[in-house]
Amino acid sequence: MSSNNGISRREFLRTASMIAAGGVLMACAPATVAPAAGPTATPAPYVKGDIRIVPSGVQLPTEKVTFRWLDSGDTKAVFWKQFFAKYQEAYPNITVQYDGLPWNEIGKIVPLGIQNGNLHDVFSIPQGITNAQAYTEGWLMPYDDLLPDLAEIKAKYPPGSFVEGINVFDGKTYCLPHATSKRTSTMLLYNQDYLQEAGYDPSANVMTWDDYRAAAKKVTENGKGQYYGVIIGGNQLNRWGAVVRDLATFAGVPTVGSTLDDMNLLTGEYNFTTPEYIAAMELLLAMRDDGSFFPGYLSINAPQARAQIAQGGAGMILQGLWCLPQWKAENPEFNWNTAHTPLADPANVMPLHVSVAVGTEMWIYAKSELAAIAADIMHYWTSLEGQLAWNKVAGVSDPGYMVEAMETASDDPRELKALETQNGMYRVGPSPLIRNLDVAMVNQELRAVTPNFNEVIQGLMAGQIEGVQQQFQDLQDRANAELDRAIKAAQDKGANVSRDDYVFSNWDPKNDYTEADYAAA
Amino acid sequence: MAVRQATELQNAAAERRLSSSKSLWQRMWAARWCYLFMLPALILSALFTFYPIVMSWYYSLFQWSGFTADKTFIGLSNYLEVISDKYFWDAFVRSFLFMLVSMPIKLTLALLIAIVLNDQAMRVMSPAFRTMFFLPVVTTAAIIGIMMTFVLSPFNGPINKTLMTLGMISGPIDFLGNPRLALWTVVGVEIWKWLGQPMIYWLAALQVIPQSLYEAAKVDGANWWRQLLHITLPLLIPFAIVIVLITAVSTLRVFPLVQTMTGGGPFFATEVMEVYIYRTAFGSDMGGIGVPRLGYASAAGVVFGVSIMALALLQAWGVRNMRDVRSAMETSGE
Repeated sequence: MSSNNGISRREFLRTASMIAAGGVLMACAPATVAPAAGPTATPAPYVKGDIRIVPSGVQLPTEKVTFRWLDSGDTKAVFWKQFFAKYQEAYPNITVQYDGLPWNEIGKIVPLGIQNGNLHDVFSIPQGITNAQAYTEGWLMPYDDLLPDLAEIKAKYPPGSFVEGINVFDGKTYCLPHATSKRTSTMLLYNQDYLQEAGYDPSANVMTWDDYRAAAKKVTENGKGQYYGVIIGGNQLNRWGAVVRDLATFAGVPTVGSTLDDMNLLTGEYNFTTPEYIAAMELLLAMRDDGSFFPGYLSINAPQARAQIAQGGAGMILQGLWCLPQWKAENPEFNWNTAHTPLADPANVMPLHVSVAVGTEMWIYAKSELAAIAADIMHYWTSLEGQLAWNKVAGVSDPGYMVEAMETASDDPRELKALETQNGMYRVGPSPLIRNLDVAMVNQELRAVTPNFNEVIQGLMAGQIEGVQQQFQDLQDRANAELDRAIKAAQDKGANVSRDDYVFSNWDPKNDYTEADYAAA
Repeated sequence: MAVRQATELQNAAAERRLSSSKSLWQRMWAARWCYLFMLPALILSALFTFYPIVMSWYYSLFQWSGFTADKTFIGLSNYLEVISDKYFWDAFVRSFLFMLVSMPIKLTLALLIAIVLNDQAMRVMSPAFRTMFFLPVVTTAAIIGIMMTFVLSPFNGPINKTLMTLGMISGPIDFLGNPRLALWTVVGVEIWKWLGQPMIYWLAALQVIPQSLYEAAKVDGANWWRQLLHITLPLLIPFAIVIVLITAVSTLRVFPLVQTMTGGGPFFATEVMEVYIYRTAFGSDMGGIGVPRLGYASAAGVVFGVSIMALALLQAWGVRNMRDVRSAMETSGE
């Protein structure tokens, strides 16, 4: 993966980020340390990654106000609690009410807040609602009139970050994303001691599927009932789909995350019956038959699987980098490492795809009277200094969008290498929704098929259903029928949409799909 | 005695005549304190019981995700789809199967424990045992569910370890991952968790039985077994009707336990009605494609609710029946 000649990618990134960060901070420093009309706190010596209140130039309210923020908590809660404490200290007239809640709670609170006209000033769009729907429903406020330097801010983002239909609507910008979308949940995380004992070093040599299976078998044999080759949170259905999908994608069938999972946008057909999907499923079944899975894998969820591997119960797990901070905190003695997801053919690798380069999560409520505060905070959060501070808290779990700010994400070379590997796995792919907003109406009509992809895989692994080819063909037929029904229903409601909207014949999956490609398509 | 009853009847008739001569408002005003004390419960019931029930009937007539203002009236289409969905009927049957297996075991065990704890010889130890059996009832079901996944784990779970140490099994059992065992494992945990509730009902019922009957039986030379067969069990029958129905309805509501222990899996093996409703209402957050279907889930909930309501009507009939028997017992006691 990495070259031995000349400067490595990581070294280059680190050097470039230090130069860039130093330059930007030097340029910013005099204006940010002691603003005349801004915070009154005495400036402390700045260390990269520190949270510091930097005025954006936005006119903030001077009367006593309560600003409300709603998101899904987790890492964000840790960051925002530190940030808001300093923010309230800098602006004593502003009280911040931070609500970090689970997604199902957000799904209840946001519709109620919209109905009553008293939603939080900044909020996350509930799962199941597209950004386009939220815009159409009139929930969102754009940044264009709030931030005078919006164009400069947007210029700092990587290509494919601002897309009409995702975070830009009718030419106005409704979201300033903060974190990269390029986060896999199927990186190979492993127990270095067990793998070494079995004769494997996945971080040095990317594992093939055959290596993966053989290593799992060998680790299980070495474990003699005390530990096993692989583990998965098999009670958490989405883990199954993610693993089979990513194994198959790397093997050669592209699918773009956050669009229509498991659809090949080159052909507009579902991937379930492709040889790659079937082979990926058969790999898991073979490993099950080898006895390489941790006992009880069907009845544990992802966090339980994550905990078991750190406690020495299994050698390998396909999971996200968000496992690492927890292991470091709770199991400091655990000798872990990370590697690329196992590949069917390392000489011919299809990348994973996201439809937008950066995650779009936080939005300003259309009726907020304190949107200026939201804009002021977003101005900081999406700046280099804000990204350095964010990465210091978020670490490798949820890294920011700026590559230059990665240096504060970790001081562990294993984690920095993992971030680099992860970033290299992805390209920006096309999105039917971006090309044709009417696709949102299909999404509103589309119903889950039962059993869905995740459930079929679980059923096959549990032995309740049999025949991979037959089950996947049945799934393909049902998924096609449902998509056709949803398209017809959307057409009946006036949508100008068809199956052709799911075909991007000019897409080269090995490269980013750009705005120029959309225009050409 | 006959004279006293006649006087009581006359007084009651006079009261009825007097009250019927007053207007409704006057009668309400006279009983204003009763209404005042009922008000908080009435408001809470209206907000959190009656309103959601009525709204679920309303929403079941719409195609609606639950998130947007965009609702489409589709009449009874959701109901037609519900009754033609194989997974709905699978879950429906599974719920009642769960109840039919769990309830008799739970009630029998609870009755046996209650009889033992009600014995005069157990007077000193009874509160301690009662508390021991009742503790799981007051523990949050979701917490018990999560704990049980550890206890039942095939990897270092204490139950598997014990069985293997005793030589009863050669390899660990995947209680929750094996589709043939998962539902019955959850049933077992549910029985243990809720055993204390019918036990308390049985104890209350046992304490209503007049002690004089046992004393008379002892004088007649009846042993413990004959007292049980000829006094305790016959007199418990009217209470049993109510206890059975209360337990039946509560056994149909096992969402937190199933959701935390198996999530309805593996591959629907433990999907009971409440999990089905949850999956169709919010299931897409677990990685499946498709919008949430609150309208459809409401229709499934209404169908399931009607079947529970049928049980509740049986319960009402049982309560009335029990009152009749109880008043007869009191009359005979006098």
